[in-house]
Order: sequence, then structure tokens, then C-alpha cells
Amino acid sequence: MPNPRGPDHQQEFEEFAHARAAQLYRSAWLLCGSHYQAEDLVQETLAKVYARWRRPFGRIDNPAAYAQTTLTRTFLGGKRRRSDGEQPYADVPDQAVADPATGASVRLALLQLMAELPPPDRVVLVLRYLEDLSIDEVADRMGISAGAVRNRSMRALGRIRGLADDSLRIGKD
Amino acid sequence: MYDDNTTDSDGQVSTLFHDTTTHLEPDVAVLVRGSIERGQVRRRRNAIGTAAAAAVAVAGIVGAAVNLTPNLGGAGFDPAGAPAGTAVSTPSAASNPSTAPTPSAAPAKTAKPPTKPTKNGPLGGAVADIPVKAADLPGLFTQLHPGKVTPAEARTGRIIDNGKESQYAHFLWNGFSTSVGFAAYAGTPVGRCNALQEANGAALSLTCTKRPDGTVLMTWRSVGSAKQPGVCQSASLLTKDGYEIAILSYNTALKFGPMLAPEPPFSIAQLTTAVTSKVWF
Repeated sequence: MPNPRGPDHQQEFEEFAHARAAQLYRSAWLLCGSHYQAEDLVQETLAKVYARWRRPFGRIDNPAAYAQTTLTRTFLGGKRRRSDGEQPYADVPDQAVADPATGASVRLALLQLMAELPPPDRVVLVLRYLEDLSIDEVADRMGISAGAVRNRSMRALGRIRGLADDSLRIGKD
Repeated sequence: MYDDNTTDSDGQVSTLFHDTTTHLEPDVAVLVRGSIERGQVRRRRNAIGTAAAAAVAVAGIVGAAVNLTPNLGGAGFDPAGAPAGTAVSTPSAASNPSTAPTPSAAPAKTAKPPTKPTKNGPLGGAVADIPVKAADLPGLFTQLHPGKVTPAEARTGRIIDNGKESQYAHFLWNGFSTSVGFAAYAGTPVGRCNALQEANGAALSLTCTKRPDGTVLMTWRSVGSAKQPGVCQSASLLTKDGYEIAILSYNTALKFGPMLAPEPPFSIAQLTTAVTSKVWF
């Protein structure tokens, strides 16, 4: 009987993790707004995937989707548990929005805008516009209704669209 | 990619997100290495968390057996170390009643209340009634291994009839604690055994062997500590129709009681023969 934690499965997981880590990190970076928190979130996510990798029960059919869902829920779970008023975006310069003349400024402005959104709204935006998921898929990943996803998406987009317009205009200049 | 509500503005936001993050290149090797380290800690933690159920679950007589059999699930329990039981054709001389102290010789420690299985029907795979009753199990066992059967400690419940879900009997065979269970389980034999091996294999030297007829034989052995001595070994047959027949044999009469012999009276080979017998059906 093959060992469910044997070297083959270890290698299989490592290949998966190497392939997915960068994309997970990008999502995490948008959600958390800082490099270190994003790294921590990705590691925690992959650790959860690792712990379930090739278990006899609860086999993961779609590891990429499972990892993305795990990342989302780990992020939201962490936010729910956090009651110390953590300010993960304290290092974002206040004046970033005022000067969107460079890519770096746009990034900082985006992080600042994202930081001002409630965590579930951030997740909706990341899943919709970075992971390119449909509303139904986002609803499924987050465990909420499609209507709730639409509402959150609409509300959050109102904050982001201005920056999107600016950044695209800059790109054309 | 999007639904029918997608707008140009949505596309701009998508472009913004992709453009903003495309340059991000984390140190993937560090991320993966850290993930595996954390994942391994998680697995160990999970294994520890299930240890109590583990000791019992192995036999499929979850809950009941651990609380009513000596040395399993107790603090200080050390499942590692002892060599695998050797197969013998007959019970050892230590099983002679004349050499076994009476069960009341050693005081029993207060045990936690047994985690009794629910009584809401079978656990899963099996749909028919269990073909034996708990009260009949000691007698059936002595058909295979004649010996003197006396009541086990009262706290074990001795005879537990959970209807379609499970039937358990705990008794002393020639003075040695013995448990026989017939229970329903969910899933496939291989899946069931693998899951238990996943949770307990390292701690209990649990092995799963698929048999030509599709059933799975699960065996394990555990050794107590100096403070709580005792050896237990067990064989279980996981049938294709969702039944689990398990026998546990101990070298003690009481939980935390003195060892009556170096080894339990029945080897794993003998227990295997017993659980694969047709006597239970």
C-alpha cells in the first residue's frame, strides 16, 4: 500500500506549491497590503493544503481552487479573530493617491484603497478581478450568496474605479 | 471570465489588479519550505489531537473500547517500543487461570466516562442488522478459543448493545481482559483502514492488509509505560458490506492493573484467525 505521505506525494506537493505560490502571493499581497503578512498568509495556506495532501479521506480534487479558497478563508478567519486593532497598512504613505504618476504610486494607492475596504470586500475584488472568477464562483469560495457578492462588488468597485481610470490614463500618456 | 454584468469598467479594474501585481515575485522556495514545515507541525498536531480516539478507533470499536479496556488512551501511554507479537498456535502458559491473579487484586483508577457511540442507527456502510448480539460475543469467542469467561470490570459496561450501530463485549478470558466488537462503519474497507492508519499508524504500528476477497485486515499493537504497564494487541476485519469485527487481547485484567504475563494470551496471528472466522455470522 502506498504511503499517503511518501516521497512521491511530498514531491507532488512541492511541485504544486512551487507552481502556485507566486499567484497565491499576489492575491495575499492585495488582501494584506504588506509583503510579510502576504508571505505569512501564503505559508499558512499552503501548510493547510499540505496537511490534507493525499489523505485517504477528503482528497483534494482541485488543489489550485482548494488553495485559493483556503487562502481566502484563512484571511477572513484571521481578520475575524483579530481584535487588537491591527493596522497592517500603517507603512503606506498618505500622499500616494495624490501623485499617481508612476506604477509604484498606483500600487501604493491601490493598497491604500484596499486597506480602507472591509476584508470581505477585498476578497470579492481579488477573486473577481485578479483571479477572474465569476460571481457564482466567488460566492461559492466565500460561502456567501451571489447577491451578497454583487453588493460587495458594487460597493468596492465604486472606490477602486477612480484609481483604475487614472492608472489607465497614465498608461496611455 | 466574468458574468453577463461585466462592464468596461470591470475590465479596467481587472487590468489594474493584474498590472499592479504582475511584477511581484516572492521567494517561492522560501514560501514552499516554510509551508512544508508548518504543514508538518499541523499534521503532528492533528495526530496528537486524535490520539485518544486513535487508540480506540484503530479497532473500530471507537469510544467504547478505549474506556473499558486497560492501558489504552490513558495518560503516559507509550505505544512505541515493544516488538511485534509473535504468532503462536495456542495461548501461552500465562493464560492459565491458576497463574492469573483475580481481577480485584489491583484497584482500578477512575476512568473518564465512556464515550458511547450514538444510538441513532448504523454509522454508515452497513444497512442490515448486526448478525450477533453483544451478549453472545463471549460465548462465540470461546467456541474459537475455549477458556473460562468471567465478567470484566463493571466500568467497562461489559456488554454494550447499540443495536445496528455496534455490539461490544468486554470480559476476562482466563483472567485476561478481552474485548470483542462488531460494529458498522462508513466508507470502504481500504478507506476506513487507511484513515485509521493515517491517524494512528505511527503510534500503534497499525497495518492494513487487503485480502483477496476485498476485505481488509487491520492489526495493531500497543505497549504501555512503566507507570501504566500493559500490552494490547488487536486484529480487525473490515468487511465489504460495512462491518468491522475486532478483538483486543490484553496481558492485564484491569486498566493500569499488573501485567499477568509478558504478552497477551492471543497473538496477532490468533486474533486474525478469530476475526476472519465465520462464527460471527
